[in-house]
Amino acid sequence: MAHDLTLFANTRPRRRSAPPALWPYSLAGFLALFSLWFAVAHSGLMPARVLPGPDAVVAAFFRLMREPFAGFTLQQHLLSSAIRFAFGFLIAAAVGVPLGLVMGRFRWVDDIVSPVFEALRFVAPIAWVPFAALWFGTGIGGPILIIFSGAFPPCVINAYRGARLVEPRLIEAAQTLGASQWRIITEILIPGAVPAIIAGLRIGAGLGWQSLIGAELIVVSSGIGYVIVQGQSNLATPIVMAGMVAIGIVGFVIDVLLRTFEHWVRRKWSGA
Amino acid sequence: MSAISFLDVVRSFDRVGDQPIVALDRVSLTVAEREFVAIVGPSGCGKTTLLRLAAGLDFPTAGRVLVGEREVRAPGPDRAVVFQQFALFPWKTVRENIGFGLKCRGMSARDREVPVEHYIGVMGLGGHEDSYPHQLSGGMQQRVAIARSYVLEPDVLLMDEPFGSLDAQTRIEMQEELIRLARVSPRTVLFITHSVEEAVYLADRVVVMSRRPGRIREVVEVAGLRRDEAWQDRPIEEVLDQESFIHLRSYIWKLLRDRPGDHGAIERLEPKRTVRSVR
Repeated sequence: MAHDLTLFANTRPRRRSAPPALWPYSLAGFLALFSLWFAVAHSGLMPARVLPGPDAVVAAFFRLMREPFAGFTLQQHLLSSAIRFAFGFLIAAAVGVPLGLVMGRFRWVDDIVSPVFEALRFVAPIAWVPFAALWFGTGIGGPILIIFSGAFPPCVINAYRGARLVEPRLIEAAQTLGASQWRIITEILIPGAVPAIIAGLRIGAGLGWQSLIGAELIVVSSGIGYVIVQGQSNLATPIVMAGMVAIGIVGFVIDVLLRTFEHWVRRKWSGA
Repeated sequence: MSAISFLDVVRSFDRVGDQPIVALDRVSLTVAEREFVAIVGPSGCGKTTLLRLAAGLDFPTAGRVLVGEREVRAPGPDRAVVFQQFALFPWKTVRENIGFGLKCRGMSARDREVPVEHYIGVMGLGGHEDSYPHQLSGGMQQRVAIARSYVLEPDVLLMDEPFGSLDAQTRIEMQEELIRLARVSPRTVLFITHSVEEAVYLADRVVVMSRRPGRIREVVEVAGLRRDEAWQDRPIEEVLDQESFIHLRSYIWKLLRDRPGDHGAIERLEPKRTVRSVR
């Protein structure tokens, strides 16, 4: 591992001086999608009510930002979604990562938790909606449970795997140097598992965000998912699609932020 | 106080649907306080297992392991281990690696400074205090690992092929350094190696083990010879050319190459008297 990192550190300057110019390809993909969408929407094969063109969706998007719809502007809806997401995701990370680490360190915890965890993790977040509403209401508690149920498993699994992949030799070395159990967890297990933990947070954030939208479709009266439901009941398909676009953008932003964080930590950890 | 005793130690590893592997079979060995004992033997002879038992990282199936008259129940900083692959913490700097054991003892960052700096100096790591392990050469990483153990001033030092992955040049430097350190602050040392030369050069006694099941074949005394010929005061290449050194080395080589079954052959070739006479 150390050797790989050294190699990577040596080759980095060269990579930085010649960044691969791939963005034109990415742009071409988007252009192709929008052109096709535009062509089909304006061909008259489908009524605008069924498939609005990208121009109509963009117009709806900017209108939603200015004029309140279903009580709030798009930004306000996004903000209320984001707050719910932040709560659910942070709770999932705060509970899931330590749990995964402890499971990875102590066999008996693993034996207690794993069967229950394995049974529950295949229950889709959406399936929790009835109980979420029943136990925590439709305000903020219910959606948080649903986000939690989406983001929690990847946090646990990755922290667990990360802890298991820490070289046993390092843990033994720490033991022979007199490290307490707590110190082994904080100074050996966590740093060793950090790359895996962050990858888990990223996956968890994605699933949490998706689960949130699902929750908002059903239980609440604000948020971006609620915009879509209201758009549908008003037969305002451009609004539905504008909502979908907003979800995609926010999801993408969350992923980019976490990926940047991941790169930052990786670089710090490799010591370069 | 810090002698290591293996009393009739058996360590076998269970295998699913198969006979258990007997790594150590009724091994009895005592390393006296401040004695340097090297263990040589073919791979799979249980020498690493022996060291792990003394470290408290593994436990005997039968028999007892005592360090300083107390049964070994867990790893601890009184018995420092230098691992074959160094086992430095990759996310800690040289300084942090060396100071880790002291930190575990509850020493503050300021109190750690002096002993850590001392060993950085002793090990010639000056200028690299804030480097990470992967930025260092193998030889330097090894010196960090040794400093990390020495800084705790442990009664017992357990070293598992510490120089195995070093190039010949660095290896010789490290061997000389170890001799020097051993003279400045003598410790009880259990040193595992597959290099007979290294064992004879460093150790007071060389324990020769045989494979499957791991048993002690013979214990060869070196301390007297080293003292008489003042090896520690001479450069390594000179010692290696000594007739007595070569003699001892080839005697141990024959022990290693000899099949455990035909025990008589070696007795005829090299009677034990020869070893005693060079003492």
